[in-house]
Amino acid sequence: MSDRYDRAITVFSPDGHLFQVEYAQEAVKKGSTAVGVRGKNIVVLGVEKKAVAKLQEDRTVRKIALLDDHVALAFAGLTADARILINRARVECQSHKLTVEDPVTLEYITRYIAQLKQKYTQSNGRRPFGLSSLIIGFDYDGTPHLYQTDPSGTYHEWKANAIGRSAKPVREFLEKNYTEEVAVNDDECIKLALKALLEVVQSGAKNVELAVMTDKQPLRMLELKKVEEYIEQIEKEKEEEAEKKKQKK
Amino acid sequence: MATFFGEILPVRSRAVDDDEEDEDYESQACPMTVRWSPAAKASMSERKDQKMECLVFVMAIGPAATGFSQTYITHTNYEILGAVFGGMNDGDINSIQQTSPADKCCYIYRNKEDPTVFVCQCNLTVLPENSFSFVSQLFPCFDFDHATISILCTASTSEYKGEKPISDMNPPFLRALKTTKVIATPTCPYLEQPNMISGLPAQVMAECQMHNIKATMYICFADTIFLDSLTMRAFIPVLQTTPIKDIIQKNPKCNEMMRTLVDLHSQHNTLYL
Repeated sequence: MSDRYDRAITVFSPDGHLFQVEYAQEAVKKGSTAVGVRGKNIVVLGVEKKAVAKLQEDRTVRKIALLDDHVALAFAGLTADARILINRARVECQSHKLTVEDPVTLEYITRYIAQLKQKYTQSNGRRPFGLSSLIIGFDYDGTPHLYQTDPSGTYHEWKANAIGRSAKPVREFLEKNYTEEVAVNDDECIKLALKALLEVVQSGAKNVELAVMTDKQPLRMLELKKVEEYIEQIEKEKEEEAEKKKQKK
Repeated sequence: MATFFGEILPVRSRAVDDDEEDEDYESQACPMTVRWSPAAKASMSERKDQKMECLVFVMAIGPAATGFSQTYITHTNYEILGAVFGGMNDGDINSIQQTSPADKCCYIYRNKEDPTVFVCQCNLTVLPENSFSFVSQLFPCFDFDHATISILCTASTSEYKGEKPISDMNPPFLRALKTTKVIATPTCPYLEQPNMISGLPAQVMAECQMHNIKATMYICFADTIFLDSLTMRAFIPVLQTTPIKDIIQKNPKCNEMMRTLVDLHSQHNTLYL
């Protein structure tokens, strides 16, 4: 049945599916995992770092992009589509600043990106963007936000979320371990994002990339050493927990 | 030509002679050929029926199954006995020595310590029309009367039909099929109806069922189009099954090997990030 309704995205199937949009969501699962965690005073983005070919320049293979000084985005899915979307969002951030003389709010820029994605699900001859994104940042009043968009053009705000391959088990991990106590502590937020990623990524600081943002501060990519330190702390805590359980028995 | 309603209509032009184009695209069923090493030929000549006695045969079809087999089964103590050739397209690129795990080749290995254990690792793209040729060239060289065969292959979750939606199934997951001679229950659920397996794995199973050979097929349904370690690791429960559990040795470098395999296969994957 679906092969008759695959071809043009403007066509609904008899049971109400937009197959191209659903297939675009499958394309998102082909991208590596990205995690976002919103704390009280910090927002964290963690991505699975793909192994680059020996002769390839590492800096051109980035999943985390800066949209403005106070907004960053991580994506999962088609690389080329992401580049186009990020460029359009960057232009919109500056255009908004020039017109309204205020930096964009997180909701505004998320809504802009989501509307752009939705437009492409309703135009003739165009296909949807094959990517989902996690948008983090701080509004002018200092409130942190984490938003997620998907190829259909829907967007939602989250306390913590994951996109890309293995997003489901990572999200389940976040649901179990995200607490208000974690949210108030910056280090705990970073460790939660790292722990969630390490659930599905081969362990090693070389396979993950972490970016953090605090209010009125630029986006900071954590250095390899710092990530390794966090991983050591996490492993220590795991061992201590295992010891406690043994003693209880 | 795309219309307002999104249908694609074929456009005919008198300027182009359409008939000529069709000939180029016909897939030609080219026969597969098996070549054996002198050691294999020597083993075959020892018997009147010119066959090699086989008690354990593992067939790994596709990059994920082959990668799993290389990492957990043939990593040590195996020699190449023969190879199956055929099915390569103009666009396929292989290393000259044909030794890279990413190469499109199909080698048959034999355990050096136990000459009745064979592993066939098939990275070739075997078209359905070539499957019969593949099996009819390979099977007559073995005496499978007392053999137990395990077939490992992969399929896409987009082809899987089940009661639960795929997102609830947590891919990659294993399903099994067996011939009637196998009494034991496989380590994973049976492949549910109306799912079907086609191509080379199906041809091998059909051959085993027809000749009353014990064979179990393990299919890994994965949602990735590129090789990744999660898909290869999905086959790990198979290591506890007969006959594989009796022939494996621990590989301390398994993680490293998997990483190398994934890297080799993902060099061209810049489409998704």
